[in-house]
Amino acid sequence: MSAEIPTAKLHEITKNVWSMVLGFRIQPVKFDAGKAGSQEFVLGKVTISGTWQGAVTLGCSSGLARRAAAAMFGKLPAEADAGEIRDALGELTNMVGGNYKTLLKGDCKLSVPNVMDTVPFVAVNPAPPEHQWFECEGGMVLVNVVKGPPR
Amino acid sequence: MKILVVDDSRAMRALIRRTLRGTRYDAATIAEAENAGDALASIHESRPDLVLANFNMPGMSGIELLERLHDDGVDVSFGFITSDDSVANVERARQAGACFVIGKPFTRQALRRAVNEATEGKRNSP
Repeated sequence: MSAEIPTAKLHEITKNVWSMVLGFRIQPVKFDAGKAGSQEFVLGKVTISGTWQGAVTLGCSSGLARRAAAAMFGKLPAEADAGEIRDALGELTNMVGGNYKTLLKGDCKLSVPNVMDTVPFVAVNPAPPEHQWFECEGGMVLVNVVKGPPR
Repeated sequence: MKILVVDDSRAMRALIRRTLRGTRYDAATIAEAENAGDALASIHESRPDLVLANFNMPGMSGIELLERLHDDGVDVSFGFITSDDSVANVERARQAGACFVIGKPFTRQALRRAVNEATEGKRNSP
């Protein structure tokens, strides 16, 4: 987490994006390895370069990612295809990362989002406990800010 | 009324289209482009009344698209819808002649109000 931006701000951004775009309620929760371990995630990432360097990642358990895509495309969850799910997660990541970037001081540039789907919990990088965890509609959301040059 | 929505995210284009549904723009022709290059060709060909563009896209950015239109002598109402509505980006957009910059996520009311104001002149023109 960036020393400059408080965690509460990241929570606020994430909640705003979820409620305004999807109409979903999202609540911060404590990391639960048992619950997370059984899930696969769709992971989005945007990098920020310039006077501040780092990345913002957003992960969503697969079932929730499908419901989020359905909400954004205005269709039923069963009708959302893999491309739509990746697109939706990319856009949600772009919004969280972009909003975070506006809080940073100095001249920075935001990348376009990169999305990986069906990532098992054990392959989530950086290690899952470092993320901020949320529960939403029975699914899980993780958000993380990684300071430093791209890895 | 012709509106062109330019965003690399299909989900965002769908969201913008839905937000304008049920308004005075129900009868408008709403076209989409997934990148600024396609948008440039579309604008030259169909001359929309309003362009709603993302700021940050792969390849040519939204601001580069607007600057290119100026260079080409194309006068079109242009608004940005962006997740990165930083002071620097808003200032650059204003200097390039954008009608508005709306941050993502946006409310239905905010987008509709901005679009109404940007197209008001067009609706009142003879």
